[in-house]
Amino acid sequence: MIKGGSFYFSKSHEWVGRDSNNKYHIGISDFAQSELGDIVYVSLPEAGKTYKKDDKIGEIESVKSVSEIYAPVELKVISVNSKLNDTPELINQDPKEAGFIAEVEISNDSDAEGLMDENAYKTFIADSRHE
Amino acid sequence: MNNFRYFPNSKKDIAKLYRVLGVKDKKELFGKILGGIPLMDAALLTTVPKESDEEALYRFFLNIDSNIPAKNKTAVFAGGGIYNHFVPSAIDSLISRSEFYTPYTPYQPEVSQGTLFALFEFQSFIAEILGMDVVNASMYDGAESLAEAVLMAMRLSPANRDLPVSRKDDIIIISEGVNPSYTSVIKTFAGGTGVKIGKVKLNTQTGQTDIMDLKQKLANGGGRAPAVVVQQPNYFGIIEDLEELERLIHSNSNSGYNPSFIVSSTEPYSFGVINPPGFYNADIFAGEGNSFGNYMNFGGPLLGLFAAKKEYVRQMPGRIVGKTKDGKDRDAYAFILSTREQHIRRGAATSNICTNSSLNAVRAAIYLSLCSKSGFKEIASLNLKLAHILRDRLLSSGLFEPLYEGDFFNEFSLKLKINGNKHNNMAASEFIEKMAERDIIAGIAVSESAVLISATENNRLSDIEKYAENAKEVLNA
Amino acid sequence: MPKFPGIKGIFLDEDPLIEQGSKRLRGIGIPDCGLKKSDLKKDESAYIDAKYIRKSPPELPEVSEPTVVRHFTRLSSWNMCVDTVFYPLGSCTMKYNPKINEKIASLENIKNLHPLTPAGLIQPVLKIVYDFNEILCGLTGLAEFGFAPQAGAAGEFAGLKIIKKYFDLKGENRKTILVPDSSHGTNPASSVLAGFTPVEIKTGKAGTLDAEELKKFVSKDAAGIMITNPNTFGVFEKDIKKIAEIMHNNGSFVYMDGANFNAFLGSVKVSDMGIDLIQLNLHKTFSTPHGGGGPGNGAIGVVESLREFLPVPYVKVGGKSTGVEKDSGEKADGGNKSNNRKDNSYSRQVYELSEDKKNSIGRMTPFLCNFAVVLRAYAYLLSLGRENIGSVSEIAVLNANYVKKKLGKILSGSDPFEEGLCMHECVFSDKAIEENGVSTIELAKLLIDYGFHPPTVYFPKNIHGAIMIEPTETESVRTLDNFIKAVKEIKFKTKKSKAVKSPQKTKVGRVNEVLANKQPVFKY
Repeated sequence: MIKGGSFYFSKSHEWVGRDSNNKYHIGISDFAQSELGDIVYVSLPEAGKTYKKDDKIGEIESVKSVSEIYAPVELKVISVNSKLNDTPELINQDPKEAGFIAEVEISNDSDAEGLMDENAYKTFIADSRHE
Repeated sequence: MNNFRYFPNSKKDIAKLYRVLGVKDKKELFGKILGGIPLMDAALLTTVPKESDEEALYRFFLNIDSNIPAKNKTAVFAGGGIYNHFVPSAIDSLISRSEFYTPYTPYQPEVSQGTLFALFEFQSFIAEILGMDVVNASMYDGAESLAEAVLMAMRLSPANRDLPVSRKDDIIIISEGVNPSYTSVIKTFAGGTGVKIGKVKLNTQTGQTDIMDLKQKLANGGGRAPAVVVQQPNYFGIIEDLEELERLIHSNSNSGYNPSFIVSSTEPYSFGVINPPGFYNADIFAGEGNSFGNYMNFGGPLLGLFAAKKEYVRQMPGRIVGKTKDGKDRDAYAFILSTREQHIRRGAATSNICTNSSLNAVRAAIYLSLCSKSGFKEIASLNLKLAHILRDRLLSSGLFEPLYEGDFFNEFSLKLKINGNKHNNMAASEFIEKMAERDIIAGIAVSESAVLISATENNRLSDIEKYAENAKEVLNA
Repeated sequence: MPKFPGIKGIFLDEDPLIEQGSKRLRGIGIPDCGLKKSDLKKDESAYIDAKYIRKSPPELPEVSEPTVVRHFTRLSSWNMCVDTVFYPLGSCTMKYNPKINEKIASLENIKNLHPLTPAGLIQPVLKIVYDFNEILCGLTGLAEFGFAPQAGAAGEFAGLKIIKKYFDLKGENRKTILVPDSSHGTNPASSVLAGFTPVEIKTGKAGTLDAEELKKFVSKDAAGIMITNPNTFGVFEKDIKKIAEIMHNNGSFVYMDGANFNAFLGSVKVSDMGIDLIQLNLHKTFSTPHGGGGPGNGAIGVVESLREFLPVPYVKVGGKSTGVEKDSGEKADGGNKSNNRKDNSYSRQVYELSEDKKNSIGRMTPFLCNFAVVLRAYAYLLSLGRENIGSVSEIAVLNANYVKKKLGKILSGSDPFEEGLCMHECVFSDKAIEENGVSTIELAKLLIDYGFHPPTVYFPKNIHGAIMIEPTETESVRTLDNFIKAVKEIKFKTKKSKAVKSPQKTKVGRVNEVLANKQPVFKY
């Protein structure tokens, strides 16, 4: 569904993906899922709701940690990936496709473009590892 | 001087430790660590007695034990939140195993399967008794458990919690049938949120929570009631009509507030005879479990029970044991849903509870196994009957009158009349003290002139007779 | 003599009891209580309205006493415990639990005592709580302890609630509690429960709090600071006096998390450090058994100015005397004449349960306290006596430093606090073991196969792969050497393939916690 689109990343490791139909999805990065380990529970955002950038929109739990999911840009949730309720491991298996968090609407395309692209994000991770 | 018996390092060992560390003595050791903070000399503390050998220590406590009411000649009819039940010897024997009482909380599941499995059985048995979905691995005591239930209900209501909610207009509605100590504990725990407490009167005739008053309280709160709390049987021993209460509470949805129906109990043994809270669709149960295999121990430690509907499990406080598998597909047990807890979620945890009442819970698991299905019901039934026989016997003397007429399980309240005169009441506390001189703990004072009396399988018909005869002498003085 | 305690053994498996039942079996003898047969047979509906009566009894196992005893005895054999293994869990103070304390707590009349028995009949029991308070005051330099808190976290809550109430009465709206990021999770959780917002302060390399750093956080919003001392790295907070001064100058309180009080017992008075409140975990420092997760007691101690805020009820001395109290006083006195101890004070002093504390935060528990826990702790202190009590912290600190020094050599580069001395526990990162391909969790599980309980792991969080070792004063150098040798062997000889499979000698292997959390099973 997001195939062939472009991905943009936040410093808190969420992605925004724009597909060929100009539809937007959000999720968490491959790096984030690997740091979390086996994901056992996801609390999803509310469909129909508008969130400002950096608002807390949900939570991801592994056995012994909890991480918050933040809105990478200002967005409105169109629908959530309800498959995650029963199979949260989709995020581990396929964070950018089947493990997406929600389909969203974005008011300004430039908001997403203002985030890091794949290359910038890779550098960002490498840098933060050295800290 | 010889080494003290609890220290396995000899003087020689200790000298070796100092040598390895390159430190001369205690003064230097602590001096290096503490900087300017002075080292104290405990040997000069007058408030701490001198060392005691084991035999002297035992005699000291034996002497204390022999100067308080003796188990073998005192008839205990006091309840009010803790009950004098029989404790089979097998429990003491099993619990005295170091493997149960000396480990820490089972954070390393592979070396704690015994405790974890026992707690899993505890959860299973309590879930059966209460008719509830999920039971946790224990809270401190019934009162604290109930306070946590109220806090949990506040997390559940209003359902939409996007905006920071001011709790100043919220009202926790509590029946006056709830043990007043429990209500006090709720105030201590929930007070920090600013929430108010609204009390519902009891029907003066039956002693049950007054439905009309509850209706009014729910309406007056403008719908901002996260919870309604009742106790079953209530503080005065009366069996509440949970069916009617549930209907009213669950139909009261208002501005995002769906009040949780919280049922408490100080005597879950009652659920051997009467319908349990789960039968009446209670959202949360929080009460005391000391009746199951634990001694009264002068009021503690106790055993807090906590249960809820499955859909609310992520808002539950406390530890929960879950069943799983190990790498070789063998059954294994571990704490689950730990992300609710303070060691992971810190300030956002569902509770700050950590160490709780594990050993008491294991006692309860052993006890309920020993009771078995038929025994549990039979003992509950025995409690019911003894209490009714005692009440009938006391009322027939003409020296008592009932405080309430509602049905009860093993506890009831009576008013006292000196010489049978309705207008000449004896103070309940005076009656209790006078009875105590006669080796009868006659109950507890629930008002100026009313006594709350309980009977359990630890009371015999002869104790009941003794109670009645002594009461007659005391009240006819 | 075996090289290590963990060799091999036999594990006896057990089915859930519910699967072992047979119709109408039971393991309890039920008296008839003198009831007539006809009464015993009578239906419950003869007593109460039939609509209340439970139709189907709870499905408890139907088993006999021997079955129950074997079942739980087998279960117990699947636990490691203080009496079977070295149990160096950091911050948990897993010291030996003296057996005489258990015997005392099992005394027939004490354990069967109803908490609402008239005070006149239970003077010696009330006196225990009263005297225990005096001892704790002597050891800490504080003014009074409240015993209502049932465990450490409850003690923290009580202390913070006291601070909250103090400022409420003063009309000051102070909203925050400062908490170092290395603190136990209960600290921020208790702060929230008491109505505060916890503000985390970053700590230095050894988890210590720098007075200058603290100053940045101090404002009129701060009601107090919660500080663990020694901190969760086992390191003494050197700036503690300065910290207290800064807080006091700001009108704020200093709350000390006393979970690590074993480092100070009988050697340091917390009042000398400017502490205003502390909770003492009797199930840690004062030797009462941890019970596999409780019960405990978190007695809350305060300075003079906060005494009136303590929870109620409490044991008060010198109240009004009634006839019954006088009678029993003489009785207790008489009973004491045969005893060598000079405890004939009951006739002069009258102890009562009082709610008379004018600013009390209220009630925390239905009755007085976890009395049986207080009783054990009191017996522990009487056993030790003033002559030995200072040795507790001394030996605990010596043992911890010995482990720190010896293991520091094996786990080189892993001690975040290499230079100084620790107090009752020491911490290592996973740096050295990672070099040999062993992770912290693997070290923990490997130690199990050697016959040791693992240390606390992955806490404190600001040490990578933290390994936190608290040996306590009740372990010998011989045991410590054996443990150190095991760590050495793991570090240098363990193959990764073995590490990931450990433990192998336990009842079950590595538990599938992902499955347990994804598809939770809560009961049979």
